[in-house]
Amino acid sequence: MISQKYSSRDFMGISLAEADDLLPGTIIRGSCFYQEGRPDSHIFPEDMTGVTFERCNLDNCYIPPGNTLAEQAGIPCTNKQVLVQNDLRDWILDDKGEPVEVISAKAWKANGIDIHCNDILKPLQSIEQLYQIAEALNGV
Amino acid sequence: MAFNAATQWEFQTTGDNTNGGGFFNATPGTSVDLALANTPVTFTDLVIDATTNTKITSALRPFTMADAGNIINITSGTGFTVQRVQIVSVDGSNVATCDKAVGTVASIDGNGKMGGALAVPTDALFDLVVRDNTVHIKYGTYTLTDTIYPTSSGIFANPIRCIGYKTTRLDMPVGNDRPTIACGAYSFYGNNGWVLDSLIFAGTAEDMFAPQGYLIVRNIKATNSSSTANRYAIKLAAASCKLFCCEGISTNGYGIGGTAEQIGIIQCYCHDSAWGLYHTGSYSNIVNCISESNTTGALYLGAAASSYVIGNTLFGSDGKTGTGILMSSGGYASIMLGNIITGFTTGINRSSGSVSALLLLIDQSNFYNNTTDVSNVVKGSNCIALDPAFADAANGDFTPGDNMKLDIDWTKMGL
Repeated sequence: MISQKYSSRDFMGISLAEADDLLPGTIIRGSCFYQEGRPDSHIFPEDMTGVTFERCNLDNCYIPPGNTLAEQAGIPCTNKQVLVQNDLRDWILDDKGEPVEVISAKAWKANGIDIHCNDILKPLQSIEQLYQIAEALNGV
Repeated sequence: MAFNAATQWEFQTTGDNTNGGGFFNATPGTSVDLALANTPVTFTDLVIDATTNTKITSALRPFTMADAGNIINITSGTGFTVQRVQIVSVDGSNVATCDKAVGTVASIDGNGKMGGALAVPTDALFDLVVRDNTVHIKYGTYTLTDTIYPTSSGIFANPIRCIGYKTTRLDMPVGNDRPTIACGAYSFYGNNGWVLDSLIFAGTAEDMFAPQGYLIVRNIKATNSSSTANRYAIKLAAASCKLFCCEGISTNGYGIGGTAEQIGIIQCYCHDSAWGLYHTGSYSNIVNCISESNTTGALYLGAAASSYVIGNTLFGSDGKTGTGILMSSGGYASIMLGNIITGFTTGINRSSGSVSALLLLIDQSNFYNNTTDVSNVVKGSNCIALDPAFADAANGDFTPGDNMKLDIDWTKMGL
């Protein structure tokens, strides 16, 4: 049964971990649950089962076992892991948490810009690491 | 043949992206818009004529003249081309003639859906739209699962329109009665020659709502809640875009702005951002806008030149916050008149360059409750310093008080 309460809504940044009405057989259609900056967010009850998400944005959401992501109206759900990188752009991550493709890559490519993950600056060294490097170079 | 220029496309939250989704009034008084009614007709027995591949029939659900103008989404069938076709006419023998070849002559058992609304915007659907088409989006929340970057474009004389509505098409909703596009991490780009009207956008993307050039954008509210700095709620990246009556909020970034030249930001409202307005493109007009309660400043112009900043209300805070207008070495040949600049550490600041080397006119404005009114620019002799006495600044009502209103004796003006 399609949930009127949870369908066609914007839950971006909101946790539903305490919801007690996400019951087996519930269908949630066309809602956004994206969690910025927090890949693999546990925003649903850990014991939730039997819920079907149809054409939802579940980026950065952990889906407990026993629930289904389904296509509807010709549109699948999205369940990518996304995180801002040192170039201040949002990147899609692989299973190891490494950036593989910039979000909205097609817009960049349409403007003739091919952004590669190797172009992302490496993380800044901490002060302690810099001292260690300097000491090693100076034979200390 | 492309879809008819007068085609109206329909999005509803209860729609389906496998529906036909569009209609033009082929026979006024007879044709029925099945997309608006969201009453799709499913075919499983379409037959292509034995000699003319644009003609189709169905025995289970014969075509009628009321079907003329509706779009069929052909989904499968041996000899059928998977595509959307538009019924141009239906004759007295229930034969529908379509705008393009449906497939191979004499093919049978084709599947398709005629009419019915669409569910959510995608590139593939927006790429079907042609010049002079209108896309109607009914009230509700539409969740993007990818960035929208359509290839279809209009021109100024023949735009593509994308318009939100509450109950009846073209009812011009305001406030929260507008449809919402829930963007998540994705962006909504228009393309050149699109008109975008009466919609709400919410998300976190770098350029969350980015209309392109030669475009008119009206009655749009965009909120970017990203924790990453310097992201736009509404970004103008292509020339000649005009914004009317839009609202932009970007918690850690820019409400409205961009880099494009020859843009207009008119009667817009930016607030609770780092910079309310952040636009560095030259030859631009920023007119009758309100930019208030931003943490860093109201209007950043960078090195923009040859621009008009007219009749705006720029408010920092009662305790003086940030900068009203910040320019770098630019501002050459720009005019700033009739602005209320109040509640800033610095009203107008030009951070570098010679103060006398510009054709920069700053005059007939009200500077009030700023620690410093101007820095490295010349304030004109017709500026005043009166409390604007806003009606209720804390709640976004910047109606100026009586002391800011013109006192005109109309009897002396022959009226």
